[in-house]
Formats: sequence, structure tokens, C-alpha cells
Amino acid sequence: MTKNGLLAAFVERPQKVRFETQTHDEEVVLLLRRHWFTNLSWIALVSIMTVVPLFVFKLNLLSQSEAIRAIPLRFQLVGTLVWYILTLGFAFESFVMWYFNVFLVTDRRIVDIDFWGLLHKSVSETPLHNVQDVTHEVGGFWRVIFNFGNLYIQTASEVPRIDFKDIPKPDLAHKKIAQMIQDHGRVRT
Amino acid sequence: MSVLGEQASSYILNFAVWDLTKIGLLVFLGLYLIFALLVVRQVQLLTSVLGTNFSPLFKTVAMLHVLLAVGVFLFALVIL
Repeated sequence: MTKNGLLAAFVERPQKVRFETQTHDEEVVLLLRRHWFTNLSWIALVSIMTVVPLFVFKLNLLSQSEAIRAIPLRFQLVGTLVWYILTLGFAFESFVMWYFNVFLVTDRRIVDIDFWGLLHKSVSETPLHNVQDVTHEVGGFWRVIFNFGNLYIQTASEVPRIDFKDIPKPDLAHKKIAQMIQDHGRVRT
Repeated sequence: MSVLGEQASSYILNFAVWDLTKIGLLVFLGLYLIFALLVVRQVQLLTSVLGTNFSPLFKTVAMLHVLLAVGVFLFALVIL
């Protein structure tokens, strides 16, 4: 996916994307996120959480379970609402974490923006001229099927290596970064 | 214990169980409300680090999440 959509994980020259330390004349050339496949675990969990109350009520209607009927209706109602708001919160938090954990390649540098927990962030970057080696790997059944994998960028900066994990089309990203380094004046890949 | 005594203890036990459940649910929803507010702050932080054309959408969803959390808390307070 190369369009700048909400679910895009491989975007070339994204429109209306700005990052914190970007200079006014710096252009983002490549924006990468983890492949959509890496979201399947939480999507499956959210799907299960969504249907669980429906199954519980259906079972209650079928079996006339004493255990459930012993719970006052108002508690059942509030319990269901609590369950669904928890599901919504979990889904939103998971999506936000995927969306904002990005790898950026600008016409000057490579930036890795990581967020974890509720209020933690880490931003690593290296200028293109400090890149010493670029390696990509695709291994495992699902990675080969859906063409996603890791890209490792060895640098001469304080951050010795920047890892782009589970990105789509790592071979293409590798090619583009190598091309940009070449354009930037140093070829070391 | 007499039949009356058994009925009374059963009533007290039943009352205590649902009263405690109510308190537990309200405390949980209060904590969830704090979490929802933290998510709003988190989204502000995230969109300031990486701004995209979807930033307003994320802020709106985070605010709606807080409103829902407040709504469920008030609903529980009234109905339970």
C-alpha cells in the first residue's frame, strides 16, 4: 500500500506528515509502519471480546441459567457496558500504538519513532551520510507469504543500529534507502 | 438458627454482595476514567511528535472515549 491512507504501512512521499524535529525544508521520502499482519492478534482478541456478551446472553436465553438469572438486570446491563468500553479502549490503544510507531526516511536522515506504554517515547535518528550498512531479512512462513520482514541499518552515529521490524516490502525499502544514500553522496551498502 | 434468622442473614449477605459489587464497579469505572484521560494526553503527545492528516480524527476518538467513560460511570451511579 503506497497511498497515504489510515491503514497504509508503506508510504512513499507521504502528504501532510510532519514530525517533531523536522526542519522546514526537509522532506519525508518514506514512511514505514509494521505490516498489517502484525495486528492480527489484537484484532482477533477484540473480535472475540465483541461477541462474548452476545454468546453469554444467547446461552442464558437457551439454558435459562440460574447463575446468570441470579445477577440483577441492572448489573448485567452495566457489566455489558463496562465490557464494551474496555474493548473499545483496548482496540483504540492498540491501533494508536501501531499507527504512531513509525520509521521515517527523509532526504537527510533516518528516524525511528517508538512509543510504548501510555506516555513513553523514544526517537532515534541518524544522518544518511552516517549509514554504513543496510541489511534486510525475510524469514518464516507468514513473512514470505505476505512479504514483510526486518531492515537493519548499521550506522556510525551514537545509535549503532536502527532496526525496522516487520515492515512491508523490506527489499523495496532497502533499495530506496540505498538509492537515497547514493544520491546523498556516499555508497556503503 | 430460626427460619426468620436464616432469611435475615440471607438478606444481609445478598445486600452486601451487590453493594460491594456496586462499589467495585464504580471504583473500576473511576480508574477507567483516569485511563481515558491519560489516553487523551497520550494522543496529544503522539500527534505532536508525528502529525498526519488523521491527527484530528485520533483526538476526536480519544475525546469520545472519555465522554463514553463519563457516561457509563454516571449511568452506573444512577442505575445501580
